Amino acid sequence: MSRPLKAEEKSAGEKTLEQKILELERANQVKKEFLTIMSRELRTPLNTVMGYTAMIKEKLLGEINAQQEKALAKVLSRANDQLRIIQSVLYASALESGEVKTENHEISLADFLDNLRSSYKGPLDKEFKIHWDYPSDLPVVSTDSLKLRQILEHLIENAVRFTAKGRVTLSARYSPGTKTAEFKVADTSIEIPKEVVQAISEKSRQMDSSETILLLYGGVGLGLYIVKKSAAILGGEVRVESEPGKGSTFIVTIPGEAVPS
Amino acid sequence: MKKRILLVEDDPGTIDVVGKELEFLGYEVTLAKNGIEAVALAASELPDLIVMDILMPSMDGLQAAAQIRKDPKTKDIPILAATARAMPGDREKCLKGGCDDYIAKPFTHTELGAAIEGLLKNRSRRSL
Repeated sequence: MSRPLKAEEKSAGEKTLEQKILELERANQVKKEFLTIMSRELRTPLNTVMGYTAMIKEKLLGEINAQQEKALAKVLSRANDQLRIIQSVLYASALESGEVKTENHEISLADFLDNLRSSYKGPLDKEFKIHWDYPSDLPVVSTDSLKLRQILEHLIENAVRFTAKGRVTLSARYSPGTKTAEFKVADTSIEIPKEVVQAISEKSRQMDSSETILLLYGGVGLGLYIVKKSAAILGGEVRVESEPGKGSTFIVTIPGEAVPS
Repeated sequence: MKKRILLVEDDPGTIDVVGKELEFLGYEVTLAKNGIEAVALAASELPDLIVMDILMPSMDGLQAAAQIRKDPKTKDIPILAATARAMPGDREKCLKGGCDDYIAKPFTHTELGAAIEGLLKNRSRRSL
C-alpha cells in the first residue's frame, strides 16, 4: 500500500524548495559576515601602523631627525595607498555579491554638483584646478545620489592622480528626450590602454571574469571596476574615449526622469 | 580640568594606540571592553564623551549606544563611532543608531582630535 512520503523520508539528494531558500539565505548571510570580518581584519592593524607612525612623526613620542621624519611621511603615504586598495577591494566584493542595494531619492542635479564641487579637496602635492561645467537649471531626478557621487569622485580622483599637468573638467548635461543625465570627466594627459577602454565600454562584457577585473583594477584602471559596476546598478553605463596625447574622457550616463518642480 | 573620555574597544592593539592618542590630545581615559561595560560605565562615570567601537562581542556598539540614549542620565553624552565598518552607508547606520559622529579605522590622532573637539564644542553650545 502506498502512502505519501513524510519530509524526513525523502532521499537526501532531494531538497525541498524551503530548504534551498534557507540555504541561499544562509549563504548570503555568510558572505555579508565575511566582508564585515575582512573589513575589521584588514583595517584594525592599519590603525596601529598609521596611529603610531603619525604620533612619532609629529614628535609626540620624542625628538626625531629630519631624515626620520621624511621616512615616516613615506610610511604614512604608502599606508594610505594600501587603505585605498583595501577599500576598493572590499567594496568591489560587496558589489559582486549583490550586497550593495540602491536607494533612490529625488535630488536636484545642480545642487548635487554644487555640493560635490564645494566639498572637493584637491591633492595636497599638486597645484590643481578642476574646471566645472554644468548649467544651473539641471532638473530634479530620482536616483541614488550616494552611488552617483561615488562614481564621480572615483573618476575625478583617478583623473587628478594620473594627470601630471593640464586640467580636469567635469561637465554634466540633462537630456529630456532620452531622460538621461550625462556626466563627463575629461583630462588632458591620461592615455588609457585600448583593452581597458574596451573592457569598460562593452556592455555585454562579463564582469565576473578575472581578466576584466585585472584590467579594470591594475594601474590606470584602479577602481574603474567599481565605477562600471556602480553605474550598472543605477541602470546606467560608462564609456571612455581616449586619444594618445590628448587625454581621456569618461562618460557616465544615468537614467532619471525629471521631476516637475 | 581635563575632559573625561570613555573609550569602548575590545581589540588590545587598538586600545593601546587610541589610548595613547587620547592621552596626547589631553584627555583622561576610562576603558570599557564591550557594550555591556560601556553602558554601565557611561552611567557611573558620566564621561564628557564616548569613543565607541561598533564591532564587539556580547553587546555591539550600536546596541550600547541605544541603551545609553534611553537612560535620561546618559542620553546627552556625545558618542563618536570609531569603527572598521566602513562600507558606504555605514556612517549613516551609525548616525541613525544613536551616534553623533563617525570616523573609520584606520585614523590618526589628528582626525580623532578634530572629531572629538567638534562634538565637545557642539555640546557646550547646546547647553548654553
